[in-house]
Amino acid sequence: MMEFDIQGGDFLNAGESSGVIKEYMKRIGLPHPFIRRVLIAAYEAELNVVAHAQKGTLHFTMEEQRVIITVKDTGPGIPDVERAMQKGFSTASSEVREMGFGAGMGLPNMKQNSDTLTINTEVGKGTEVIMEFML
Amino acid sequence: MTEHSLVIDEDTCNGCTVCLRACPTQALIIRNGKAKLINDRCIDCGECVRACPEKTIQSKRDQFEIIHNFKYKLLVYSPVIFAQFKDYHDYEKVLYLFRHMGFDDVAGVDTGGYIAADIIRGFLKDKKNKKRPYIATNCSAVCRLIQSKYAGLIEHVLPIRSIADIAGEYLKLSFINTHNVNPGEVGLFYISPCPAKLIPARQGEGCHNVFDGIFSMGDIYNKLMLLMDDNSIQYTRQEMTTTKFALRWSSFGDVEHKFKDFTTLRIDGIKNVIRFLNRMENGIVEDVDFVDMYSCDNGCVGGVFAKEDPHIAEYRIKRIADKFPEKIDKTPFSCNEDTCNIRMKFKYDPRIPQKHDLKRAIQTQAEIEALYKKLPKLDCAICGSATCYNFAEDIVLRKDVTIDDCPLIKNKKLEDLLKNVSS
Ligand SMILES: Nc1ncnc2c1ncn2[C@@H]1O[C@H](COP(=O)(O)OP(=O)(O)O)[C@@H](O)[C@H]1O
Ligand SMILES: [Mg+2]
Repeated sequence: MMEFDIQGGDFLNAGESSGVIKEYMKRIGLPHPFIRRVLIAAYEAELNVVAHAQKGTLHFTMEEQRVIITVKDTGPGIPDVERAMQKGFSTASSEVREMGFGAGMGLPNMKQNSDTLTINTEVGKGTEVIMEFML
Repeated sequence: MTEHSLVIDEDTCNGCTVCLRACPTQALIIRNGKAKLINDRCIDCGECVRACPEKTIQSKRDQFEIIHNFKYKLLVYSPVIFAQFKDYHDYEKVLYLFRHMGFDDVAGVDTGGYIAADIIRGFLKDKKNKKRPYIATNCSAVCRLIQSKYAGLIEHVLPIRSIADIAGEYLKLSFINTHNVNPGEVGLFYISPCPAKLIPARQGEGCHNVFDGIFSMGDIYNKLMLLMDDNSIQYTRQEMTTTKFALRWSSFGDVEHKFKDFTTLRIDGIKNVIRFLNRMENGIVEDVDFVDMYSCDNGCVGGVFAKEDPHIAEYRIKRIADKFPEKIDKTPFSCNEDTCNIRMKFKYDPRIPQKHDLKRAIQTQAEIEALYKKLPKLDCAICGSATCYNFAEDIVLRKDVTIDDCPLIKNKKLEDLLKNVSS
């Protein structure tokens, strides 16, 4: 329904898609706490592409009962998803940390704010994160 | 229905569209050559009043004579009034002239500032509260903007009244206490630097309006100018009890000096305010404790009813403020949460009805987006809607325009027709 390109390393423009998605959800009158959940999770997923992968896309789909956010990238993939899901686990470089990113809370926050979180990943090929938010 | 202070004079409006471009909330449209206000979008910031070349948009305000309906008359003034005069050092003259006009006692908005500061500090110190930054309630236009468009930020708004309201509470209660008079005989009035404050903020239940009448600072300025020319007036010295930083905070929003021990921001200008609220709503403002936002440039000194340049006004207020101490030991009458009505609950008052048919809303939104794609996106406003996006919305939702009201689309259609006919 809406698609946004994500550029690896472009911290400057990260979050612009969240702004557009937010306006849309406000316009159709979704409740604020729901909007907030979607925004937090979408922003973290987008940031992961910016911080850990080279290139990707963010898809936003609105259905009558749910919102689906799909973030795909052609980055390095996640070797150990279970470990990556742990609070505080991060492979972010010290430069990225200095910028205030890379606290290892992205994936846990995505899990907490979505109703279902599916991660399909292959090392060397890329990662697909699908999040579902039920109304 | 929302009550607004702005009124458009249909006789003098020539439909020029300047106000449409000035309005930060797209609350104006032109239909049949006349500007109209969309009530549930207007936040009374007064940017249209400033912009209108015909002076067609005016604000409703109370007539000064209503003060005579009360036996005792009290006045809360914005200190911005002092800065409107070249001889600003003579602010005591202005204070005296208020008495001369018939007021029994007066207080500046700064009085509310030093009363509120301790209460606000209490909120900021409370580490348990993670709703940061807190938002001040001093600018009514900003409050209305949040109430109508930013549901997610309501919880950030400090649940206390504006410092103008608190000054009013204080003045009235202290007058009643010291003179032992019947509250019904006391009229409380306010001089506002802007249209936003001419009407009471939309409030939660249980809140009453503090003021019995609100005057435009422009009207009072005119009165004062005439009085200042009158040589027969015998001035007597007036005292003002205030603090340096309360005076600065209440006129140009110098919140930083008022709350030195916290991270505070003053944001001025409605476009900057909107940008910041959007950032806050996206959840990316985390390192600020308190934000004081003003619709007008440089805070209340930039009010629509102020004559002087906001930066000149700022230095004049600073000079006056320098004469006052940083702290005063106690307020002359103790106005605190027990004695004064300081708290106020903010509620969300949205544009879109809460209960609605989501399926229809999704369809409607799709229609709007599809139409928008076809429009030239020049935001020329000649169609009578502020932007191409608003035009698409108006075609679908208000249904008072059609796509042919876009001059470019219409022209294109006519050209195509001409081609067909001639070929
Ligand atoms: N799209 C991705 N591509 C490659 N690795 C990823 C991706 N998303 C997450 N990871 C890995 O999972 C780790 C944890 O992610 P996250 O919880 O978001 O923390 P952070 O991004 O702060 O490091 C990251 O450090 C990274 O190693
Ligand atoms: Mg992350």
